[in-house]
Amino acid sequence: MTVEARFKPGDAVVVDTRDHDGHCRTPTYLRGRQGRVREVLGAYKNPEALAYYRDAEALPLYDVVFGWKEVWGEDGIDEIAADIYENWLKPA
Amino acid sequence: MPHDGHAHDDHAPIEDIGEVSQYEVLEQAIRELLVERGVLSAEAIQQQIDDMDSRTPVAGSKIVARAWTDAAYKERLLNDPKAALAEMGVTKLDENPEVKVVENTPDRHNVIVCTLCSCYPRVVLGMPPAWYKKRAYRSRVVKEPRQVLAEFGTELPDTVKIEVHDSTADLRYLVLPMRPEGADDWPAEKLADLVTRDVMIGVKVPKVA
Repeated sequence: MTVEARFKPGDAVVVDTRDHDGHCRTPTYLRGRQGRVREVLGAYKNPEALAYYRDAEALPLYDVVFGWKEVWGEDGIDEIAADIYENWLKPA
Repeated sequence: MPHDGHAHDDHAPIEDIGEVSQYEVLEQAIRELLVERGVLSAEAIQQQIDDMDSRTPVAGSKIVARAWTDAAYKERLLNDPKAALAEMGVTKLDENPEVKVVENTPDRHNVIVCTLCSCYPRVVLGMPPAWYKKRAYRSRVVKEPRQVLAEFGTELPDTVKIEVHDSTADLRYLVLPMRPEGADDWPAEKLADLVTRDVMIGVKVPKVA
């Protein structure tokens, strides 16, 4: 599946804070957090539609890395990496 | 051993399966409907169960050991994991989620979790351990990875960055650990014994006993 990706490696992005009822693959602990795109992983069908057998569009999927302080508010060198679909990302 | 008026070989007592849960009833009803309507055959369902039961961490161990002893293979594993897995006899890759391999280095240690459910690289590791699916591991390893790793006996220096991979989407992660010291002249077959399931999840590091 080829879909044009809005973000590229190195871009700063923020995960949307919206609530979502039903199946969703964006963890709540990362919502509102700023991260950095490390890699465009490809395009995958939107799980929020796929889970209900609806027509699911292919969305770019990103490997996004989040710093420790950004996620937990505490100093630390460790990082969290998560795969986030484009419909949950905004430019930082 | 004779009992209830008949004799036969020793075996474990036949389990009383107890009450059947609502989910088991639901699963059975859906499965029977799918078979009845011709969407799936009973054989196809059983084949999937057999495929999954036949997968074990041995596949992952062999892949890691080869990557340690064959630099060109390691490059392929990191850059084109699907082809590299197929080369090592991992089958039905198209029917399983894609695997991405993350490499441990002297500066960075990777550990895998799925905070949302229990996504796991089953095609190379088989079924996940019970603790991997438990809320305690899933909620703690993203918040206090160093403490969780220490509970597995893994103490990392403060200078090593831990990267926690939350398997939130379509990819499944496999950790490529560092080859331990003291195993320099070991052949791949012997190295594979050091590469346990927990090492490939990232909660442990391989050690020469």
